[in-house]
Amino acid sequence: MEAERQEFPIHVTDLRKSFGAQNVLDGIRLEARQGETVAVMGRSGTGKSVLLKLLVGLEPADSGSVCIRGQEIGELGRGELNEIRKKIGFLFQQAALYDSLTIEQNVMFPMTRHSRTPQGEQKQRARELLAGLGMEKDLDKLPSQIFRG
Amino acid sequence: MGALLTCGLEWFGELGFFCARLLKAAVTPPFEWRELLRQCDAIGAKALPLVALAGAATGVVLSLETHDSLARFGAKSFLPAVIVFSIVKESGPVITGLVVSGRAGAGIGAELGSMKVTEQIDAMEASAVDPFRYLAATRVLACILMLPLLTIAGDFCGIFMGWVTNTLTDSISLHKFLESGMKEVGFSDYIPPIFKTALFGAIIGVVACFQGMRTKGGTEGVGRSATSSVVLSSLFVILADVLIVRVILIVWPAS
Repeated sequence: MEAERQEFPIHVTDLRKSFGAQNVLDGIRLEARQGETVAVMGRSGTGKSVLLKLLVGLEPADSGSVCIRGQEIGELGRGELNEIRKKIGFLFQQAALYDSLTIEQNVMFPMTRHSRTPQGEQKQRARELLAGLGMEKDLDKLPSQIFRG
Repeated sequence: MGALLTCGLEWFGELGFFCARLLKAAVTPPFEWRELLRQCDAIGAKALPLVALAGAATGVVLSLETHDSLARFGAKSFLPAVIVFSIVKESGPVITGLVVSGRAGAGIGAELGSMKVTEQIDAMEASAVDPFRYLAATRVLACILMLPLLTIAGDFCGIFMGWVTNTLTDSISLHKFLESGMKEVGFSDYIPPIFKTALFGAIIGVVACFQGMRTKGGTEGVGRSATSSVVLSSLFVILADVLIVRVILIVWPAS
């Protein structure tokens, strides 16, 4: 079991989660190797988003195990959990951009808190990333001011 | 009745856990200075015109209402003291608290509620940023810091407009009005009422952040959070005022 946990960066066993009487996840097992792409598919309301939230510890599981790089998510303190979260990219269904920050500030937000690189370099990196998406003209706009199509 | 009681106890229990996490986030580094300044501007500077207007209106009404009553008892010369005492000791702090609970309480409840239902708070947590530190602690601290300053501004406007209104019927210089009004007012009269507004700020900030961050149910839920933030924070401000006045009278009996 321990060897399996080490082999798979993401290792989920017998994961269960319910909200009241609604049983959303019932004994999920999932393993993802380094570099592997895994798609979780299903109809609306079958628990895909809940599974992802359990993977980063946004929701507590009712039972079962979620291991990220050999560390049991449910047993970690806030600080240790945040160290794992820093290494995970998580895109929410509705983008979840911060309304009060500009597009550039949104991209820079995690960098300003977790990186010690100078602000100028962070800004440069954010601009490079946004230029790659053709959004160099939207740097100073608020999320509500850009087209979300 | 039983369900209502359970619901109430559950609410206070959750509020207790919320306050414990909030306190830890507020007193441990890293501190979000920039966001705190932004919130001080949003909660303090932007509420200043409304507080000044409310304070001024209180001064005018107090002056109009008490002028005739005091004249009837031949005590017109006490008018400056009545206005200063009423505004500094009670009307100023309570009106400032209620105005801020209406403006900032609704704003915080709606903003955090909207962030909750659009998963912005989850996104913040997923990017390893503590929303209690970044969103809640900064807003609560800004409320605590800004309420006393807003109260001083509201008191000033109230006393000034009290003098203006009084001057319309009985001409008196501002200097003489203030001298007469503040002759009997000591530091023990000024300090406790101004500092009690820091507690009002804590109540408004905590209740609004708590209601906002537990929002459920889309835009309707956001509306509910904004409304409940205002209603509950106003209610707790009034209840706290009753308790604090009693405590002040025990600690500073002369005041």
